[in-house]
Amino acid sequence: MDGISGLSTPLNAVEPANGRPTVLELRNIDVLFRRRNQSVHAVRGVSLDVGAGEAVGIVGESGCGKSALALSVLGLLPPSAQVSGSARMHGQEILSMRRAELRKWRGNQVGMVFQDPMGSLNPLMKVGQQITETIRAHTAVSRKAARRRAIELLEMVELKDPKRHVDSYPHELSGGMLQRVMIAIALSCEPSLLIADEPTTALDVTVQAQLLDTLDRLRTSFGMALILITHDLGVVGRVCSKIHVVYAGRIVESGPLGAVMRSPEHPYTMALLSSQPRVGSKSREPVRSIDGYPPSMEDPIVGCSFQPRCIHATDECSHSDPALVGVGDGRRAACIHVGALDRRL
Amino acid sequence: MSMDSSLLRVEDLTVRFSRRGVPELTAVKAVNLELAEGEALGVVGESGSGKSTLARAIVGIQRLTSGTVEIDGHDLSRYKRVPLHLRRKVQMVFQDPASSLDSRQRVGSAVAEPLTVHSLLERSERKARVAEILQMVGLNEHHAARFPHELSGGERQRVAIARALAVSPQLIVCDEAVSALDVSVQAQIINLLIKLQDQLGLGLIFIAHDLTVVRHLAHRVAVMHQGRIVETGPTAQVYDHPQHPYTMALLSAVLPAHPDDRLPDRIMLNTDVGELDEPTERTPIGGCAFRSSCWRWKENGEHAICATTEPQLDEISAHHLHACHFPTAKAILPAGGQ
Repeated sequence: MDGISGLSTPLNAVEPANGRPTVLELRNIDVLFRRRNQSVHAVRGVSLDVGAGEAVGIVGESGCGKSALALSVLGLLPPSAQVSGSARMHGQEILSMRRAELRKWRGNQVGMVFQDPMGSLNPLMKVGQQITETIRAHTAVSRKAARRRAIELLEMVELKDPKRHVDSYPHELSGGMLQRVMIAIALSCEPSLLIADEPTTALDVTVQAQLLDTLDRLRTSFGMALILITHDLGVVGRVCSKIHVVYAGRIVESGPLGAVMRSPEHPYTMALLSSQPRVGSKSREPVRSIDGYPPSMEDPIVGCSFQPRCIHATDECSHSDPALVGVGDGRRAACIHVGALDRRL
Repeated sequence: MSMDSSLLRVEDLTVRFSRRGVPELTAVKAVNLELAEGEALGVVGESGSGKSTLARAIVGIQRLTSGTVEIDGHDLSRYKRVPLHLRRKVQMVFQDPASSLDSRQRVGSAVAEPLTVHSLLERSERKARVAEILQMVGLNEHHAARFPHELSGGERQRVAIARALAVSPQLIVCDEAVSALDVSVQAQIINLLIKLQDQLGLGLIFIAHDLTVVRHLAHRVAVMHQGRIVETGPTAQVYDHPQHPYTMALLSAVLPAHPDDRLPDRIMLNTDVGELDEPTERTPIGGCAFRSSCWRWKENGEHAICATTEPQLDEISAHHLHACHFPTAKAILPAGGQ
């Protein structure tokens, strides 16, 4: 590819509706996993833009392809995965990068945080060392300076007593503290984009709330873009300004968070919102549920993927595959009945 | 709850784990509970609060250090090995059906197994009973021939519930039974549990960290913190008029996902629960165990009594109890959500 550094003028800058320069631009991303005699089409033609400093939520249920999408962008999928389409960051094509190039780029441009910090950290290394290792891999600084930087980073992620914990081993810290260490590592090279995949799912609610506050503060102070991947609409609502709803490997609806939550256009979004249990419900009040289960990604999907569970489905839905089309105000939806539905059903 | 109608009575239940060289851990401390037929009790609390140990102790798969568990008038804690006819009365559903079901056992045989173990029904009648139970949980007889991996997560949890129902228990204990499920499927299982309970008059103990789910399911709720119940009462009472500062902190951390619900006022804990890494702080000697995290302790001028005397569960109004020296009613959830 171009091989131009990320600092040069973006080649294909797209100005999203909010006027920010684009950090990440995905076009028609497809991910296909091949295993012996079966194939799983995990991501099907996803296109989206992430603006500088923007917080974007990618929401969907387990197996919908949201994590595969993130990993494909980072070049972290196993060789059995075929990724096609285009992913540009600051105008530079990522999907065609060589491994070494990609590794360097990843550290400098994108930070990642996963669900399980215990599984991502080395149990035999002090957390400080794990941060300095990353810093020194990407920048030429002395050991001492790297350690100072590590403590600074731990302070930034609001870990308690960073001077002490820089010398702690992972098992000495709680899940919430470890996740803060993971964020510190992700931020160590000041990326312009942070991808967090279910970062708070394994945490207690009070810890989750505080960690999300921290993430939000960091995004603002670093001016970095955030992609938050989660199944939890409450988490997205707390942090993000834009949302992409994913069903069966495909974006079915996207737009500004408030607008999508208040007046969803896609029946899946509507159903998802109304099936949320509510803390203010009456005791013993049933939750409105969606019948059926998400489709298996191993079988080819004919027509609209949500059609078998959709209460608005008509005959047409079972053969025509709806495209994701603009519906105004920076919103998109993939439903042939868009605009003609009675919401909140 | 009148005494004679109680299906389950837990008195002064304590479970302590001790191992040489490791500080002793009291997972459940002097817990009292009562449950009537057809009643659903939600037990909420964060990881390490002892709620799962409590569940296991009630089902009889965790040895008690002291106290009693009485089911339908029978004291289970008297037995070294609880006899089968008493075990039948309580069944458990776990969080992850993928690991609680045998991957090589077909659904039909998994549901029939408890019938065999408990020698219930003739062989010839079992098949019909299995079909009947599968139907009850929203599956059909075709599922009987399938293996767990051929089912979705929601269907697997239905199988786990079917297995629990097979021996016609009076009480079901669910430990995080919907936590691993997707929202759209979670709602189905919540509704299924409500329906089954109403149909069969089952008692239900529902252990969960998710306060929204518990609100839908439970008649009453018990909030656990470090092995103790710190507040308990009718669900609406506890959620709308919490008394204990820990209950308030939990409620304030709920992130509403429904578009009509507003974010509650956040309460910042003094220290994140679970982020206290010094074992000495984890079990303060004397006084209230919540003190070090309590946001109100400082606000209230650090009363000496919180550091010296462990608060006991006090009744604030009918069946609403809390364990705090300085309870204050403070609404946390925004009013008018619905």
